[in-house]
Amino acid sequence: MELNSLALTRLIDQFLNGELDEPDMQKIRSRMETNEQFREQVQLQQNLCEAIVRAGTRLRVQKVARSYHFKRLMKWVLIGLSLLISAVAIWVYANAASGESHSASVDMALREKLDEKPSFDRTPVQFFKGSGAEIFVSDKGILLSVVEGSFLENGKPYSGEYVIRLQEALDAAEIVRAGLNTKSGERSLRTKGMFAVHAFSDEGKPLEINPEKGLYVQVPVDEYDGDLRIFKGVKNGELIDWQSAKHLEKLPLPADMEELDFYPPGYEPLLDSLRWLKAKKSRDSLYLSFEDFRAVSEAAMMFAGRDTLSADMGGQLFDLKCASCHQLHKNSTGPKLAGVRVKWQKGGAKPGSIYDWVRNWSMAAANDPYAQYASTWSPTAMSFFEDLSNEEIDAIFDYVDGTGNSECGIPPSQVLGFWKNEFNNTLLATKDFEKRMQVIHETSDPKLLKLYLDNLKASMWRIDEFAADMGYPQFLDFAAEQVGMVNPDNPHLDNLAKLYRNSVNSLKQLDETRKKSKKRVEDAFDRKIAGLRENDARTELARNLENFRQEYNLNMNIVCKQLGKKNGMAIRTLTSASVGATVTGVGAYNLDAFVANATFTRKSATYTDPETGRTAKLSYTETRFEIENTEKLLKLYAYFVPDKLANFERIEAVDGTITRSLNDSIHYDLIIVGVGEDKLFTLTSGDPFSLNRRKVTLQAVSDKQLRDQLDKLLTNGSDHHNFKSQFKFWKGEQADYLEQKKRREEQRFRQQVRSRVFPGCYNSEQDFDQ
Amino acid sequence: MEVQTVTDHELKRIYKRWPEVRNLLRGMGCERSRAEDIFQEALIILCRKTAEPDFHLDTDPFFYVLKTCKFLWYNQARKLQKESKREISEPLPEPEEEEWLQRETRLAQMEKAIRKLGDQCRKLLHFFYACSMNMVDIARKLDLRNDKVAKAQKYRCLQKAKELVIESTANEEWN
Repeated sequence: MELNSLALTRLIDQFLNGELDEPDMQKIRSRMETNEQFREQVQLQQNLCEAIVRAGTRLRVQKVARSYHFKRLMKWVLIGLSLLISAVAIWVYANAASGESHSASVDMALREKLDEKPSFDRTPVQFFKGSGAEIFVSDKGILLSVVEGSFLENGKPYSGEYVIRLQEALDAAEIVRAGLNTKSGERSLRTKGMFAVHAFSDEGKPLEINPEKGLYVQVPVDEYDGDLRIFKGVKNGELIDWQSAKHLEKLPLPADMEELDFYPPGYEPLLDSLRWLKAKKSRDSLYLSFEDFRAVSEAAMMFAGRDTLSADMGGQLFDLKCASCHQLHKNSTGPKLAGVRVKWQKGGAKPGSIYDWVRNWSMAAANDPYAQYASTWSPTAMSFFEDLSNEEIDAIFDYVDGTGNSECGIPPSQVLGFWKNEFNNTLLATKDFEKRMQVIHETSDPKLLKLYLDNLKASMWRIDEFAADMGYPQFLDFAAEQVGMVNPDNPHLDNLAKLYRNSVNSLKQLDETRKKSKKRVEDAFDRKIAGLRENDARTELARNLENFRQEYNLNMNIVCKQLGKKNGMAIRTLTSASVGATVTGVGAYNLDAFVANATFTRKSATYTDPETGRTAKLSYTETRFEIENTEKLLKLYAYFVPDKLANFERIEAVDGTITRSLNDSIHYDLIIVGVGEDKLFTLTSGDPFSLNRRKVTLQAVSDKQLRDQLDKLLTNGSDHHNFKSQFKFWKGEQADYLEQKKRREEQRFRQQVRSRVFPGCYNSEQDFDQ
Repeated sequence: MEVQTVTDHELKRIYKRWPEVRNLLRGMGCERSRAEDIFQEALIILCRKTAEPDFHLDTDPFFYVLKTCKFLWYNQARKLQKESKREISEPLPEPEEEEWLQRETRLAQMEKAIRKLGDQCRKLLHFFYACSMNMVDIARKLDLRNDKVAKAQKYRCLQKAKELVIESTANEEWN
């Protein structure tokens, strides 16, 4: 059986994959035993398959390796050498010297063409081949990022395949081996490494770097040094002269708006610690609700509203007297002055001692321990300003604290306004701006935020420098990071300013609408409660008057009976509280006055009729009982339900004690009702006298139980009706209590959050040094 | 798909310790470019070993990789020794280990030879043998008319691969 080689390969493959039937398998096995050459063929093919599987495993490992190197690279301090500014930098030509290649994908013929002009003698050459936007990483970790249109061929954009030739000498040994020098003119440079980049078309023609797009080159260094510059090498005989130093720029680290955090630094930690809602939507809306909360700075709140000279005057005085030693937001010869009044007050300085201090600090220090402490700030003594009046000093401080401009902090709408997906791919959607925003929050100066927003096309470090010039030295550290720009040629950027304004405005409106609707709900609630209370007071007054009328009539009847007289003196209606006003009648005047007085004062009294000498007696017994555990009750009333009068009498407890003088000729049922925060408590008794001078305890009841108790107690209809409105009143009190508690808690919560939302406005520092 | 006894996560974890391996290998006189190849080779061996049914690893896989790296480097160093005539006095792996390693080295060489295959062939063989995909799917993935065509193509590719391997072994013997 002689097969051609392809058929043989196929047969063996089928055999190895078990695709043959049993007789054929058998045949092959026996042939393997007899024919050594055949056996070797099978072996080879088996190994081959295994090698293919192994190649698959290799792919996996290489993938892991790539991701490892990429991540590590990102971790390194990124120095971007944006060739944008020095588009043809490192474009050094030298004479031929061949290098070895690490890239198998650039074919030899092409490579030989390119090898004509490497820049560094004796330095290995690496080649990278690609088309369009791509990223390459060299052996030593230099990262090259090419964007679409990075290259020009004869001044025209080049879009075909390109080959990049890279030479790198990143450590001293390599630099020496390559015979490279590190001189710029006569000056010696310290170097973190050198590299040479050339690009060629796939036909081997040199390409230029498009100065508008540039190449991004990232060089790993062990330690980032703010003084690093990129130099362009120019061949000068055998040596390379390094010229035209350019600042390095780091590329901002872009991130998605959804992953960034622009809240004030302490805001989220506080909410988290309070276990507040997690959702960004809720937190945004809480944050926005502080929009007009920032209206007044602490200093302005504490010191506003006095007659002072204008802040303009203060400004002039400041320039004249203070500016040589003091700055507003930064310590210099003297401490920064912003917030100094608040600082003194909080530090426990004697009132007015700050005026004395300005005029003559050593005298103030002698009189006030705080001033004494303040004098230790610096050994440099402050001048005396003995001619300044209190008003003038106030004017200076008003200017310093910006009392005239009473707003403090970054308006939430201005932060939320750009915290949107529309602002992705801008300077704002970067980790770098996230860091700056934290500091902006701490400075409380919206002008800083505006500075960044107005300069979306600029390099971050330039804006940082501006910010530092505005009196915020914190930004110098940021400027030193030399972070560059993001997509400055994005045409979309021009529209974003408008979009931002619109979104800030609509956020402000949203906040107003929310506040208004919240206020509407609260007002409606307050009106309802006020209505209930008013109604209760009105009905109580009417009830009392009516009860008085009925009790007067009752007493009058009793007295008349005792005196054997006919009662002609009934009060028919009472329209005012002035007792006895309608009681008239000659001869009976004294009797009237007696009954009215006794009924009014609710004290036992006797009356002797001057005509007959008979004596009448009205008898009242003072009852008093103390109710235990009343601390948590919102309202505590005793309702005495008299059998001879139409209405109950409601007595409010004073300090947990009910005191009431009861008419002995009336039988009273008693129900005490305590209105708790969420429950009602009662005690009923058919004999209030038995409780006299005792301590009683109320029992919690459900609404239904209370209704049952009342049903048992009340026999007439009008009391039923009245208790119904009492019920409403109690429930209203409970609801109001909860509502007020809720509002207080919210107030407290908001105060807590406010200090985090506007960190610079409500947290003034306690120390002299920051 | 290929049975993954070592997860990607595990691989990444081991890869994070590459600097340790590098330092070790460089300490033994291995240059950087060679060192990472050896490390990757050792990782491949780990993947393959753990796929074997009767293989049990009772230490951290990282140490296995470390050990394999050492052996691989000794192997290479011995070859280099012939050139440089420098003594390498480190202990050598046990015989059975030795045999296994020889085989892996041979397979690695074959792999190298197969790399010269065309793109389509490489993918086709990879899908069939390494990913155990069926011919219908492979045909679809590689834009071939149907599974029959793919199958015929597979044999041609195998044939080509075989030739490449034989050619490379011949070269090897010449060198």
